[in-house]
Amino acid sequence: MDPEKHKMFLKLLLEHQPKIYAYILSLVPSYADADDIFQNVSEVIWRRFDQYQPGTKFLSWALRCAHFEILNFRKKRYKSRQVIFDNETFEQMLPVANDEVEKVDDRRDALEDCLKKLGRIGREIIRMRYNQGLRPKQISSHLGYTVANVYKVISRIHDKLLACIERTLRSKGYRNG
Amino acid sequence: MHVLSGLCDLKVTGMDDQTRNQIAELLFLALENEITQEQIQTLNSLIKNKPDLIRYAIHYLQINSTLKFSHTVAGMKSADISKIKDSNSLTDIFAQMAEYEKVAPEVEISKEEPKPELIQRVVYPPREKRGLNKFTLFVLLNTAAVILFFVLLNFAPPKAGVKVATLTDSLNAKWADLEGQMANGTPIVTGNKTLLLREGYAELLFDNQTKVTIEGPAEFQILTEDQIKLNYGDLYAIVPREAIGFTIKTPSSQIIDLGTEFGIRADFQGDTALHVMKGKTVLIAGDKSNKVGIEVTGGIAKKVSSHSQTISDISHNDRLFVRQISSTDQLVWRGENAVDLADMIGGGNGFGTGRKGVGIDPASGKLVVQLSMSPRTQTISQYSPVSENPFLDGVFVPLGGDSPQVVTSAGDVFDQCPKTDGLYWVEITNNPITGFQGEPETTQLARLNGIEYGTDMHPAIMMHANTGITFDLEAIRSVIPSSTQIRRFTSSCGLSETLDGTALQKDASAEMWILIDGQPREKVHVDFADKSYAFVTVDINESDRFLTLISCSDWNAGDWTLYGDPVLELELND
Repeated sequence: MDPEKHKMFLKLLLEHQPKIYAYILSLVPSYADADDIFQNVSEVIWRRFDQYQPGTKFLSWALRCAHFEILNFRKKRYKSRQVIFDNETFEQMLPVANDEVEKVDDRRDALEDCLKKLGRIGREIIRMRYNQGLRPKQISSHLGYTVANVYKVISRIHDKLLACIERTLRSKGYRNG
Repeated sequence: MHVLSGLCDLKVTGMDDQTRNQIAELLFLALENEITQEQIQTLNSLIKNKPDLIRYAIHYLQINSTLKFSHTVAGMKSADISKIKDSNSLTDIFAQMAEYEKVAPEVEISKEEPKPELIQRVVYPPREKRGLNKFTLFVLLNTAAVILFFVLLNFAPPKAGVKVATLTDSLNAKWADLEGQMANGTPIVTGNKTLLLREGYAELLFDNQTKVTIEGPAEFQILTEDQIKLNYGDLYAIVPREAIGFTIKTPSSQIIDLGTEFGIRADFQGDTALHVMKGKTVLIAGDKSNKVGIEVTGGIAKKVSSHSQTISDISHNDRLFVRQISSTDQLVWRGENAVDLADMIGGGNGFGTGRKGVGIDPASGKLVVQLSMSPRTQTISQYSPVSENPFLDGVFVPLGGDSPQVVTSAGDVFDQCPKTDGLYWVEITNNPITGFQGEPETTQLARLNGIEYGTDMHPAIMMHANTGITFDLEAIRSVIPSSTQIRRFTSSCGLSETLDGTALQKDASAEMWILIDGQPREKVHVDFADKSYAFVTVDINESDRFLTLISCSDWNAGDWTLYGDPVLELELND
């Protein structure tokens, strides 16, 4: 593969990485597993990038690869009960995940505004989790909360951010967020 | 319930707060790999066949993904939260958070913007351009392979206890706290364990075929199947194409391979020196918020200062690092591109391990440590193997004439061998002294073209007429670094300019021959009177088996012929 095509590949991958990862995580709700699947997807796309036609939709192609990697993942893990969504739930989530992936950028912009509205404690907890990479157990040690309460607090922060995003998008005229 | 400041609760049709909170908590537990089977069943039963809740779950998971890429989060600074009191009650926590942040009670959805006093005024870093932060923009300026492996590396969490390499060889190695545990063949696993090589050399072969040679003292950790952390010491890596992205981390830098060979020295002060021998690497210095990365190609060397985190140019040294070791052959190869045949006369491997001052009797093939320097005559043409040295096939006193002169153990005959008187004076030696025993005033190191031989800088093989020696190229090929091949033989050759105190020397002359598999490739006639000498080059093919050097004279007197700097030049394989 020539150097120019290398550069193109990486530019496209970096540009669409948030959407690809969001798609994976929305169907495989585990950071560790989503990380592995994203890496596999990156490698598959890398190997097959000679087949990519510039000007065509990279994201669609990448999401197709992600879709198959997710199916492979579920196939390997299902029998050992290591998947979160059962088959019926997964089938119902698939079309929604496909629809919502296009709106990731808008939701992301809305999130940046909503994060600014978080209070100091909320920001610090988000910073610890997503900037420092601390796990809930470590956050619990830092803050003196029980681990159970850290989970509750963080999930509530998520919920509130989500509500803020929905409101922001509604105010901009989006339906169903 | 009190809400977090500035955020408004949103009522969604068909979903109450309790259900939403429950789904959120279960999903967060799943994300963190802390969810139980019972909780998984609960989660599925909560959302299945409920489109709004399915959509909520998707949005919730997407927000978690988005937080990972958020520029705002990336730019957050640590805050003082020392006023938070311990509490096991969530209500208390929210109450404290509300009190700390001075928020208003819950508000309904409103088309109006929230009142300013409800919003915490905080100064944030300027908003980054959407899509690419500063670091990502920077790496986009570098090659594609670099970025790819940055991306992949970020998503490859290290797992401890996984076997990723094997200790394939070590030489004079002394390990701290691992006495008896580091035999050849020992599997090397990932993890936090620091390996300390106090002295000696170790070679690791990774499962991805990357070869790493480490020279002690060195301290390192194997992080993943393609990442090593070098705290200090010297490390040389040969990375095949399929292992591109192999990374070495040091206290002050990170080196990512793009298909190459390179050496890294991490010193005790934390500075790092990178010398790239072949191919390309990316050298990254700086801390999290201020990284600098540059591409470094073959023949270039750079240094990273741990103090200033800056990258500077340094002189490239292609002999600094041990690239290959062999405990069997006692080989420590630093990239030397020549095999010293004088070293092999002394029983060495061609890289400086031999003894000086020894010789081989051309009539018997025996190793001699005390040179005799006395006239002896060989009357029968014979070829004597040198059994004590695997690289020397055999020796002989060339007689020529009617006697077929065998010059290799394979029976190759040198049919152009000139007729000689069979007289020889001194053993074939790597101590090129001219003169005679008992006459110290005339004993001195040989000289050709003004250069004194027999020193570390200029080794030589003294072959006073009439002598011949054959080197086994096949045996030599088995011990030279596997990444190299023998390309040619080169040497200066001639009669030493030094006086031996005899009157006859002024008339000395000789013929010096170089053969490959018994066939002549070079012939040089030398005379003492005109101080003639020559520099010879003989190309060697992969199929060539024997190299023979001969010195002969039809009137043997004062013929102190020598081969100066006799080497087999190596070239790296493609």
